[in-house]
Amino acid sequence: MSNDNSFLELDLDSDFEDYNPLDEIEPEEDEDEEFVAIEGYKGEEHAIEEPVVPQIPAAERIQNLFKSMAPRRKTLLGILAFVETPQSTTDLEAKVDELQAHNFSVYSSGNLSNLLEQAGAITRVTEEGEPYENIQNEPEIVEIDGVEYLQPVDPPEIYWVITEEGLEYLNADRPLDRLRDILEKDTLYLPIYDRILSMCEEGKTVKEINAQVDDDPLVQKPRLYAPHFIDKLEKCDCLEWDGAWKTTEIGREGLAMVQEMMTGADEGEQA
Amino acid sequence: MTEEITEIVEETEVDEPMDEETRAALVSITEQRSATYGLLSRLYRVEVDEEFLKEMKGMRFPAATGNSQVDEGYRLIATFLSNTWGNTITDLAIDYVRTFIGHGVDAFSAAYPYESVYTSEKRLMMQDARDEVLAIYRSQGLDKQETWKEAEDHLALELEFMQILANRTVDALKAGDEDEAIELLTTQKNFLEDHLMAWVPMMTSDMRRFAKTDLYRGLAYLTDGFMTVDFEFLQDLLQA
Repeated sequence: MSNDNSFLELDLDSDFEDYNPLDEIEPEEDEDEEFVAIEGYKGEEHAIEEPVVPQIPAAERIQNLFKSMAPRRKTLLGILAFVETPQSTTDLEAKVDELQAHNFSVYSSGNLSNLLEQAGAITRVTEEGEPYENIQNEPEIVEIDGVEYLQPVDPPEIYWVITEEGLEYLNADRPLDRLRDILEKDTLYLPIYDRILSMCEEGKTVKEINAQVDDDPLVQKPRLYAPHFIDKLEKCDCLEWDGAWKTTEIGREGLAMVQEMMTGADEGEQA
Repeated sequence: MTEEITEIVEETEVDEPMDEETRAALVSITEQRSATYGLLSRLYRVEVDEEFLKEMKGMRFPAATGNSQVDEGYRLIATFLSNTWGNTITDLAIDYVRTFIGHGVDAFSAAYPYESVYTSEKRLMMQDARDEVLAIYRSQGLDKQETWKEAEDHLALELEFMQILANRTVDALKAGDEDEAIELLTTQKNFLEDHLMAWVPMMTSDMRRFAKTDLYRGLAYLTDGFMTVDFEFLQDLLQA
């Protein structure tokens, strides 16, 4: 199509001078008989079928969230623990930044709060602790030179607090139980766990841990490396990364458990 | 704005040179029209980002324009902006995708912002409408930038075209070139009538069904209402 075809250049009057829209028009034969009318075409309402969403209990939704967001487990649990008492969005953002300081994520505090809220683990309240969901802020009406304008206002800050189901999930999290399960399966490697947890009291790099683990006869067949154990210990909250791998408070309790199991194993062998 | 438009229409006699007061008023109105087209174009072009959200929160929206759809649009948008929180950007991004992109393959899963979709029998993109608007852009010495990867009949571009012509009208009026200003205003009226108003009301009807945030629902009302008001203004002005 050239520019000459633009409506700007058309003289509509000449072509349609004798045209009377009210005249009866003989129906034209359908030129495209194969054309199949599509539902909703040309203004017909296209019915949207709302998907039937099964109502899943909050406890199950929380489980599902933690399962699908496994790499963010510690951050999510950190949020739950933080909002055991109501916390403002600003404070929560600072907390999430702290929790993710050495564990970069594309998920912002807002994203994570939203996910936890949808799962039913946390809920928003006002500063006074009242449910926030019923609050609808209206814009302010300002008058300038006799004309009224709508001026958006800043809404009251949202506070977040843990729900009953969220608290149940938080309390059900027992990292030492998870560690015990691992140790019971990995009794052969108890000395490795002991060594890693002990040396990381002062913070160690992976290279330093590798140097102390990788040549041990215990990890030659099958061949295992230090990160295999670090990963397991991290998942039990016994180790954390803050620029170096460090033994946490839970890790210290875990270390005592490891040493107790090693003693028990020695006594068993001697007997 | 509607009252001001009426006054200008009453005062303007196209065949006679405008007096300074009328010219200044027309410049002011056209600048406001340009700003509104710019706002609408931006909202349709891409998702809202942090900077734009902050800018919108600082805006004031007329409470009673005389057009119920414009008023409803502004009310919904201002109310939405009064209820933002930390995840608003993500909420809006999700709603933008839900409203304008969708996830189905039946051509009815979203309010597709392309003229071709709403003016071709099988709701396809890149049809005659796209060729027509491209020709019109080029007739005005315009072409899409290489960074724009969508079709030329995307609503954001059609609205931006109106904004550019409105800006050119302001320049022509300020330069005292009334003939050029009238030609530009005529082009705007024709483009509005032959293109935007021919399909956008169908799209905004779909927007109201798909959008879940008041920002995009309000945008649908505002777009409909503003186009109607602007068309009446241009029609009255050019007939005067």
